[in-house]
Amino acid sequence: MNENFSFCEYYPQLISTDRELIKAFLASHELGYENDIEYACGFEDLHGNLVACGCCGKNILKGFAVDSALRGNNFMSRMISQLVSNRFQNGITHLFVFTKPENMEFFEASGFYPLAVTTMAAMLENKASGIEHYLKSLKIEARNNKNIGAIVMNCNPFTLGHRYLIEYAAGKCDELYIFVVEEDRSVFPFDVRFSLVQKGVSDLPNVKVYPSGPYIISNQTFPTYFLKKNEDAVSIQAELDLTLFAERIANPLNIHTRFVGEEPICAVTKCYNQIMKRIMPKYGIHVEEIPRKTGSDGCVISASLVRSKLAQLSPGEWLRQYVPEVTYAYLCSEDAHRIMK
Amino acid sequence: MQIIKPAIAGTTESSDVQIMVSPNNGNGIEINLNSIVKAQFGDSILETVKEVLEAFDVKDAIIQIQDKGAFDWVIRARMQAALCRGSETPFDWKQVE
Repeated sequence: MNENFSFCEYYPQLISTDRELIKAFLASHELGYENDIEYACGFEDLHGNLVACGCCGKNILKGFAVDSALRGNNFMSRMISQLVSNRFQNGITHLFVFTKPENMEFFEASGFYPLAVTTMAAMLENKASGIEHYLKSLKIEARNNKNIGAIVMNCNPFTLGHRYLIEYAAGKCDELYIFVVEEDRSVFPFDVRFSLVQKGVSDLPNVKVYPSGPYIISNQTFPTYFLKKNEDAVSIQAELDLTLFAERIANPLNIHTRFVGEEPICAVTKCYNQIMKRIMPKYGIHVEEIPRKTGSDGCVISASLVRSKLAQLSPGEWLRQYVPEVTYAYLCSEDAHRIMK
Repeated sequence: MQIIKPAIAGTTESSDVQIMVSPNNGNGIEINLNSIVKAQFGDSILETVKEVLEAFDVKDAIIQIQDKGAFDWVIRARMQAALCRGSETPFDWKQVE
């Protein structure tokens, strides 16, 4: 490596001067800074000026920039190596990168494998055939001639609205796969959400419930730092997530239809559904949008409605118009009481 | 030796190799080789990797190799380190040649 540059490490959450340094450098490359950056590394020149940096937070590597005059010094490779080692030392071993498609090659040369690529963004993971191992772990028997449908749900928590959507979809196909979003950024933890859905549909023989793995890209995980100001983060994230689902999950599993609840309120979800209708057919997948179920009070039943009511009222009989018995029993339990606190 | 957790050794700098091992319970050995000199030395790298796996008696593991032109003994050392880390076995300097 070039003797004029020294390799340095930074802890932006602990040291404010580190944070300011990284923030300013990323800004000079028109990249945003994200507060969940736990660790960063980079190169400084003889005057102590940062000339290259790479960052990470949780299981995501991000915030990469190299001064244009110094590209070709192999700084990227050294930084990626260091960030990967740092994550392993912290016990985080399944890593992801979101970047522009033109920068993919740096990561591919450092042990990352592409998961999905669109015109605006790419996602890579550090496991070779990680998604194939995930699909294998679901132990789904190959069914070629059946009509298979799928729904992706967070179920935070499982409501009568979800149940209605599942019942409707199950009636329209031979087999219905429910993918429950595994990422834990919801009020209710994944194991609770998953088991409520599982119990809540156990009477429907053609419905199977599966964990989504880390392969559903929510707008909470999707870093937006590498996007320019005028680019629409919501639609870029949606395109990437839907491409990943169609190409790497739905096609190998022979899923023909993706069902989704109609979105009357939230603009982000509305936009997501719009993009779904554009992308899925390219992969031979039909999209069916189902009108949402309304409660006895005439309001659309949604998990966010239940959560906002729970913030004001203690669990009780009022819940029954929104949630099935399993969720009702859970929400009234000690366990739920502790979580909601 | 049983690989119980993902572990990594080495770097992706020139003349080094980065090796990642992960558990693959009951599913045998799976090796994924990326090397800038795969066309010239791919077979020889795989041979070295398999030798170390045998020496450590590893039956189930996923091995990902990102090689940047490392010498044979570097590959060997990185393999040994990755396997020891992945099985939480302290490295025995006297036993390994």
